[in-house]
Amino acid sequence: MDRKKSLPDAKAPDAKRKDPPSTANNTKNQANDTRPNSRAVKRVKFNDARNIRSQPPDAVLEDGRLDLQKFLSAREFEIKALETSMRKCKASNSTRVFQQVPRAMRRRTASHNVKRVPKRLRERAKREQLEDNTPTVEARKRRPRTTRARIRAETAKKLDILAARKRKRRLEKAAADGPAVVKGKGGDVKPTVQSRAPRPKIRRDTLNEPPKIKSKFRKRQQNKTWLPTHVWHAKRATMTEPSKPQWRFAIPITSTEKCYRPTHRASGQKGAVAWDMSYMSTIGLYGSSLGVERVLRALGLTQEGLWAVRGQKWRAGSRKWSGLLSKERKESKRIIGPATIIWNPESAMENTGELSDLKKSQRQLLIRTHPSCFLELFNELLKLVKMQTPRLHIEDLRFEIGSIEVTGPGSTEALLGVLKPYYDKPGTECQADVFKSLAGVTNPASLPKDAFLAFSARDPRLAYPPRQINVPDRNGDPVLLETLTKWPVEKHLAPFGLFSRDTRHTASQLPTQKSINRRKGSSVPGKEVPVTAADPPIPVILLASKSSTAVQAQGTWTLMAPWKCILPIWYSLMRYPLSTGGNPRFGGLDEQRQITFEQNVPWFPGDFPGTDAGLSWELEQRLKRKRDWDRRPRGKRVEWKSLDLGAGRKGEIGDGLACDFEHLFGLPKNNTLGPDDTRNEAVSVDSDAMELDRLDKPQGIQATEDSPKPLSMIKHLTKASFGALAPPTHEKAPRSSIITVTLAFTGRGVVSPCARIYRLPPQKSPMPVLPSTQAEVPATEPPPSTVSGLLPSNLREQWLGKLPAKSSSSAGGKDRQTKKRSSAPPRMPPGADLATRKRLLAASLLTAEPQYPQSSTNQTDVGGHPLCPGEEELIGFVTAGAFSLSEGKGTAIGSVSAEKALETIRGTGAREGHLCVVRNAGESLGWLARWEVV
Amino acid sequence: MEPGDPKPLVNRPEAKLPRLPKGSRIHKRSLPSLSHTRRQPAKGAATNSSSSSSSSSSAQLPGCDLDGYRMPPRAPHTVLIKVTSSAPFMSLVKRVRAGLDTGPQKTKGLPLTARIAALGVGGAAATIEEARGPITDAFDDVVLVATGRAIQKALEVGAFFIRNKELVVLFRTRSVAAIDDIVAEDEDADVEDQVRVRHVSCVEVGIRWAK
Repeated sequence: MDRKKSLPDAKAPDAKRKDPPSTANNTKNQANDTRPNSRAVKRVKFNDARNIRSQPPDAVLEDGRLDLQKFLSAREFEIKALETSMRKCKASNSTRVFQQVPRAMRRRTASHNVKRVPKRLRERAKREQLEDNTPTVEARKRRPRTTRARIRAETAKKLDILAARKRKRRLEKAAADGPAVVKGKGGDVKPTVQSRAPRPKIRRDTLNEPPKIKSKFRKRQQNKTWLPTHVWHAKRATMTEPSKPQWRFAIPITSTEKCYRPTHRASGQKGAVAWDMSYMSTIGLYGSSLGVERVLRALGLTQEGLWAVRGQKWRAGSRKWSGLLSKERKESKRIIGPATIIWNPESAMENTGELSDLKKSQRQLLIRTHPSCFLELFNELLKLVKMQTPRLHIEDLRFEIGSIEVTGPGSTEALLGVLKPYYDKPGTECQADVFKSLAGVTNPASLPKDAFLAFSARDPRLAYPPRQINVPDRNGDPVLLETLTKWPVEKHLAPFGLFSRDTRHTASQLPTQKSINRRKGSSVPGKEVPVTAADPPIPVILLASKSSTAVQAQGTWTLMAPWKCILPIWYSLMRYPLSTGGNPRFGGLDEQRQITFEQNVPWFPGDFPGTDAGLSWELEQRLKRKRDWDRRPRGKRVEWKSLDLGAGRKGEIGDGLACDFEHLFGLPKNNTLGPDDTRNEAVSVDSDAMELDRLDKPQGIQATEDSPKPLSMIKHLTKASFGALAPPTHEKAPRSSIITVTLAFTGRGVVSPCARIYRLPPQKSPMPVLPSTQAEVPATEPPPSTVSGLLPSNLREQWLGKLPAKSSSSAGGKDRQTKKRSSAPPRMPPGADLATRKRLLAASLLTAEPQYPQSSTNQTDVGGHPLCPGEEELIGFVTAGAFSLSEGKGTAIGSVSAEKALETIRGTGAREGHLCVVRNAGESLGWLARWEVV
Repeated sequence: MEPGDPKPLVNRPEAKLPRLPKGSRIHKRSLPSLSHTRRQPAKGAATNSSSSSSSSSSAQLPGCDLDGYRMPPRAPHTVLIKVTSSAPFMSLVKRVRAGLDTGPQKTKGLPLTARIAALGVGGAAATIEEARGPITDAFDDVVLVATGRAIQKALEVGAFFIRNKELVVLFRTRSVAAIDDIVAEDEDADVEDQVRVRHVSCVEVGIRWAK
């Protein structure tokens, strides 16, 4: 409130603020009648709103005495003035119209360009721009700032002139030649020779080239490949940096909108989330069925069930197989990565063959895997395939087959709305009928395990924009129930179209958008365009998968289709109006990780540091974390050396910016990677060293790529192989092997990646110490301040005391509670009189007294919280951790040493052996958690 | 149903499900089709579906449940909330409130005269509603669906809203078919997996504005 000004002063703000409209602008405005006027009016209005009227204090004095009535009314007036001013300020157009636009429709440039505002608001936006004197900025027409941009602009201008000149010359020539020739030219347009579009070459047993790119976009895809929906995504999502593609693809990382919670909702409660997963790699494998079996066995599909009755459906081509593939190395297996394997059913004629024919029967398989482990798998397959007689062959189908993933309760509905079976008559394609009958399914996980459907769909552009389908509530519908239990796809199994190169190729020759528009124009409005011979069937495979073991967890649909057909399907999918409202959302890499994290499922490659792909992901992340850490000012970043872990322990264990498995397993340090201790020293000594450090880093990376990484000694152990080692047996786990675990905190705690996982310290003291709460610790035991570096002997009990009391074991819980109450000073009752208060205060002072003299901080506990166990108890690191919206508390996924985990379980039993302490890197507090192998 | 009735209920069959084979365990699938909204089928579609279902299963009446129970029609705007046993009580209450607040704009799309009539109709409609007696439809604004342990929670939430005079809370029971996969525990075992259907009791709590 400013008291000096009792009247609005129109001139004051002008003096304060630099007047934006220059003279030139003003003169221009003068010519344009109302504009300057309106602006001035607005300014006066604005100032009026901003000024709060008040009365000078001496006005209420009457002969030096305070007139109470006057004083009160003056204050009342002032308060009212304040309130009106606040109201008026809000109303006096301090907001601009583009701020009202819903978030999804906001554009960054809307504040400078009215064309970025929706049409209904454009007029108002235009007026506001004039009033605020905002210049219209169009990025396209901006004056080039850099030399390169200037040169480009100049060249473009020159080219423009040249093109115009050429055009003009041609027109002149045509005019000179006379009208007859022009007519003849027009008649020539119809081509006399029909040329077939070239079928792309797929060379077998070797890597294939990415699809041929339009020359306009070729330069941008030299070191990467665009997804089929790249342009769509690039407008709506943060993509990978142009110079740093992910797995040689430009991949959307996250939506530019805020989407964390909406993604969580759409994936579990209402809606659907879709991803363009065309970057997933597909490998075709074909040859004799016995050879194929040998190859797959060598890749780790060794369960006998798969090759006997249990795997019959899989081998017939009506179920898929998903799991981890591995490769054999000197007497040990190494995990490559997750893959999905589909067999192509044999055609009916071949199927009649006897057992003797089995050897000769030629089979085809698709192996779908992650791009980060593609090359490893491809090379391994190539090696295995070459060993077989008769020879098998593999094909690299990476850019032949694209895929889309959809999850959420609306996913089935959205797919049903977009993918219409090509053949209208029911019974032509059995699986298409099954797909159509799935209307009303809200969770792909309610389908049989490993189910999939393969059929031909029609071009989704014929029914664009997609219409909402009729979703019945089909609970207890016997037809649907029968479909879900019987899964009648085996009846007429025929080879799938997606396996055939010709079918894929014809599907890629979809009619142009122009011709579809023409057909739409000529057909009745509101009706679907009928399918003609010009529309090829699109062969699709729909995989229903469920990653989580939880019963009600959402499954995922994976749609595989020819690479060129992904874009029209994607456009339709994003426009499908869900019956629950809204459209399917799209997600990027971050959303993928978020959803797997919320389902408590490890994400490949990030949560598998024991594989080659996971290893390179971890190294990438280290560099990124280091870069981010370096960028922070020294005062605001964690100084690893000065971290106080309590009991005289100083400094972070290992490298704070890494899941430091080298430290855990005592592997040789790779100096060039990650900031190790000596590095840190150099950085802290002088900044020049840091500069040098930065400069020579790229060379370092190259060097490490040549030399074998020490981290590659780490092996991933699957849940099954870890389970085989569990207690009844006494085998040792292989050296430096890790298992992936999920961590559930027993109480509080949220951790982030790189957090350290400790097991509970072993029972140290020979004499039994009663489990005591943290509050008692200082009282019962003399602080071992003299012996620094010594952890309290009852640390294990302290941690076990942190376990929440179970309701069933009520006795223990009550005991704890009473103890707590007795140890803590009683709270002051609300209505206590003075005597009681005094008594209570005295009592509290007396009970608190033994705590003096206080031991130095973090000597025996961290403010009542148990200390972190010692370094020898470190068993692993967290690879993904955050607050999980599905759990309502923090969860994490990490990797722990299999050897140490086994040791703990054998030593302390399954119940306490699964307890661990998790501590964020750079923090001294640990949280109690329970780990579970996944 | 009377005890002497010869026809057993579908969800309580005379023969129990057979015992599980040795060395196998049940993997529950998620409940298949508690769809979020049920659109009232258009007239043409309704006849279509009824004809197809009657042709496929002659025993079942068109549009009926497994028990021979005809499901009451549900409004297209109904918000369906699946209740889990771990869901916090207040979170459910908030979701129900949100569902009630974002109800349909009842006059939208109507001609002007109809809109004006709809505005003044409050009293008359209410009396008609009261005169009609028990509500048999399912045109609820919000429906809470719960099975198993979550039934208690859904009832608690329903009971919470009973106190509100402006709301009508209805409790309905039905049974839901759940699918179980019987899987051999030993991965190398050479047995084919089986599938069977189990019926689960389900409670629907419908909440709607009184007028």
